[in-house]
Amino acid sequence: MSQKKKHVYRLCPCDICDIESIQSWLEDMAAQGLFLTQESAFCGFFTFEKDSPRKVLYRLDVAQKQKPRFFAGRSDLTEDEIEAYKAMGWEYLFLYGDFRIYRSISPNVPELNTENQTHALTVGYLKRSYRKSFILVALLVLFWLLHAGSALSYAYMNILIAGPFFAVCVYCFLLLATFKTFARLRKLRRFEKQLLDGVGLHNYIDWKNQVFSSYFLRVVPVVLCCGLAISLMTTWLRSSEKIPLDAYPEEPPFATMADTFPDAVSMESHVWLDYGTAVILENPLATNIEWNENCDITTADGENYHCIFLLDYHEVKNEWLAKGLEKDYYIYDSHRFSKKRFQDQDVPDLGIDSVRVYNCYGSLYVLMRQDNRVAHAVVHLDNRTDQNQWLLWAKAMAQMMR
Amino acid sequence: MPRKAMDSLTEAMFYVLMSFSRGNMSGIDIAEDIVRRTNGRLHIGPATLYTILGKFEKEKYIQEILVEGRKRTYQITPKGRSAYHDELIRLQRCIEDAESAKGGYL
Repeated sequence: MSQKKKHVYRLCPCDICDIESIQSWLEDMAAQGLFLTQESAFCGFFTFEKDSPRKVLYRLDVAQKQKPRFFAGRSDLTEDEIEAYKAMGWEYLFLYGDFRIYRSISPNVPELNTENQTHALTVGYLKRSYRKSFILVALLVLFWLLHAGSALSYAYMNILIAGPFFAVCVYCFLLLATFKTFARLRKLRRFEKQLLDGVGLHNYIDWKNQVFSSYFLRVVPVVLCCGLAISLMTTWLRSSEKIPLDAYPEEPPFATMADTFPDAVSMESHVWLDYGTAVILENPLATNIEWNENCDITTADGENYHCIFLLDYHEVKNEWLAKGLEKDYYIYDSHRFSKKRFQDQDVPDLGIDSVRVYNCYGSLYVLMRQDNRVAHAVVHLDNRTDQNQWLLWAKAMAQMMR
Repeated sequence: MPRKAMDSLTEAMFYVLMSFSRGNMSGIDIAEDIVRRTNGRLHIGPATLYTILGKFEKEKYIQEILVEGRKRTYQITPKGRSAYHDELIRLQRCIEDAESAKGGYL
């Protein structure tokens, strides 16, 4: 009766394009009594079976068909090919990334690739595929850089609200992807050159030299992914912590609806979806407050208003960032709506650094900046013709910001 | 040696085409035929063999004509035959040139 052998999992210490190092590592594992099984591999983890140590040859060959990046597969070769490889002494194990892995227990078996030029053909296919990937990634980085430098990227808005950590993670991720693809492309070019020069690939090399760079290039993307996920999760979780306006812990540092209608007889706020709530988002570069009011107002002269008032208030680390944010808000609003509907208003001097007022689709937008503080407010009144009320808010807000 | 693969047929490629002189062949038949034909001088590894077959299929030098269970059988095409004859003529000229060089310092 056959005894079930113990399975051991090991993370491959070499980059997948490091053909020579992976072959050598697998042969060293066999010499320690760990034999690669056919049920490998997941995210770089290979499955080994424990047995008594013996010499086993492993070879990696470029697969020109399917490329499952994370999971192993056996569908790449036809049954005819698998049989033919077996008849010639090589057992096909599995497909991982761009490579097929084979093993042979016979030390005198003819090599898997017996002709360097033909071998160079397959390495060349892969090299060209990596070259395409590299061009794509490099274009993406270039586009991202140009886009980030352009006003339309709303970089200040994204970085100041989502937090600098998120932006740094995205940037590092793109740079790392470019570097990794380039490093693999260089490696494949070296292999191709070796083969065309008639040197061939080495069957055994000291793979331990590659371990640090390989782990580094694997760990960093994982850390960056975690960073991205954490920063997104925290932003999402914190933005879902909505505080009802009447439970807001302290006096807000900006003017609210109550300041706009000082003579209001009654002001009834309703909580509905995001309305009637506030959200505080803090990050190392800015403190952001989203204030959403939705209220029915009755004034002393008997006028009734239904008012929606949305305010984004930012206390930014420095004035330079605040200026950028102010610019982003204006570009964002002016591009979001049709030019016909967007109308800049004349603004009286309110005695602060910058004020802009514009109408879009019947709503009024006010954008203000004083030193490092930026306020962006949208108001929608039932009585659309009465915009003088809005000037009251702007004056009250300007007074607070001064 | 050509810097770019497939500038001309390699030795293994030439022998793969030559093996079709016996008729339609499968991958394993080709490997066995080459060993027999060269008296064991040339062994073609399976990766080399299937890379060549894949390349030839793409270049339309051969075509798959039969799938019997796990066995796939290929047939040489007129284009493949022509490529084989071109290479044969090139090699014959090499031999003729080498013969005419006999008697010098070689």
